[in-house]
Amino acid sequence: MASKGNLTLKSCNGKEFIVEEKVAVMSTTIKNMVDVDDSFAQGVIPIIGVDGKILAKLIEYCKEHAEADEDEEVKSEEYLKKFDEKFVDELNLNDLYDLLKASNYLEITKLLNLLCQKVASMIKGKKPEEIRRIFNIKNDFTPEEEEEINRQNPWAF
Amino acid sequence: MAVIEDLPHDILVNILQRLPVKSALRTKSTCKLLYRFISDPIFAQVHRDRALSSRSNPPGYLYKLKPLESLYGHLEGHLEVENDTSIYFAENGGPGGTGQVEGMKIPFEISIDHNNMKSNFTRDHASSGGLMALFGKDCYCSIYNPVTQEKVQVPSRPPLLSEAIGLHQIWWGFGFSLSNNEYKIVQFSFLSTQKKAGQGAIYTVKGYSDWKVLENDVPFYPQDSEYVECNGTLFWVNRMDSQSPDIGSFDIVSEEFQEESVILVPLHKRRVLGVLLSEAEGEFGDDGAGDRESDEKRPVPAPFSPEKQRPRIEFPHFFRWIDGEMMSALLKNG
Repeated sequence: MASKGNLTLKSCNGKEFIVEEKVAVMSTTIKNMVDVDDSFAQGVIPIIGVDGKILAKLIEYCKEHAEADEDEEVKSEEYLKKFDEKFVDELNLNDLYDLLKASNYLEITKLLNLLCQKVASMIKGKKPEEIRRIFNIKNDFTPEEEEEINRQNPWAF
Repeated sequence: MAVIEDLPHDILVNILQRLPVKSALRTKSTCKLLYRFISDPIFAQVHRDRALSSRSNPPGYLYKLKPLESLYGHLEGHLEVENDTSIYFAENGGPGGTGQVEGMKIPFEISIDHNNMKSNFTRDHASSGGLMALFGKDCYCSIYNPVTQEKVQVPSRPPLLSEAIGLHQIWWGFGFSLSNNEYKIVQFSFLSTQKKAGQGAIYTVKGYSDWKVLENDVPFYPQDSEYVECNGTLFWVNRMDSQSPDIGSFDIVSEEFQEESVILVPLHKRRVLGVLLSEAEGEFGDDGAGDRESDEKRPVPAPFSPEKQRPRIEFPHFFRWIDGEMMSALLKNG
């Protein structure tokens, strides 16, 4: 049972995390749940489809940002920027995808945009075959189709 | 294993719309799913709107390289330089950004004919808001979208008054206004005996629209076909003997022509005019002009400001205005 001001989040594989309410409500989805139904604030909030590892990551991110929102002096903008950079750089592709889906579902907009920007920056400047390799994209074009598409944008290659 | 196709579609769009045009085009050829996303006209629109409102990643602009020689293209023996159709694509030239310029070939021929008598146009393409307008013979124009590779023919324009009489030059411009999300092409012309009171027509690039002949006269007579765009207004430098103020402008939103004295132009737009004037100076100015045979026949530009000092900008290859900031670029491997 979480003490007052704290919420308990439960991952899909049964791991429970006790977090401060201000951290949890960085997620619009959780905020709406708590606002609408007070019993969530007392009991356990199940986070469907998100496992313990990813939920821990989400909480790590939200904690830093919630604290920064509260006290700008301790966690400056520069500090947050560095934190964000390190946060996304340490992710492997599986975690990146899982976090994208989780932050989308939980509506943690800041994190979602950060992750999308990360993926975009991974694509930027790469050739199509490199993009496929990095993101496990299966080339489902026939050689003829591929040639035709490349012919359409010769300047891009 | 993580597969990109497993991501919800709104996440994919969120990612893809952050890509510069060139990366988006490359991503298009990775697989069918992403091809469909990026080919969608709605995607192009979202991508453009995002780029236009983004401070960090503004849309790309397309340029034709202006070789130094072509500035003196009116001299015999240099005309062939003007037929260079290399198009350059500049992206991310926003404030603090380094304008990255890359060569590209557009997948069709621009019908370039620099002989005024035949083509009526001295300038054959323009770029605004991520789209490109191409102008060909007999005043035909088309709009080209580098993201989708779509090329749309603009319907033919009803003849302007001057065209019934014969010899004439057409001025034109292409601009985008973010406030009402409209692209417009403007063309205008003068009776050859008059240097004022020209007639203009405008085309709004939207669905089933048609040309509209503008009711009000064009009150200025530009010196040449070059113009610059700033925040939805197009600016021309006027001919000195036209007896109108230094600058002529056309507002894309209000569809109004105006003659403006440089002094009255809002400060934030004056830098644009500096670029415009420096280009005019490159063609008609007095530096290094002694050895040009046609120099004396050319009008000397009107004084730019009360201090009689026009901004002088060294322009190695080109200068243009991008998203509120002037961008310069030296093409190294052009």
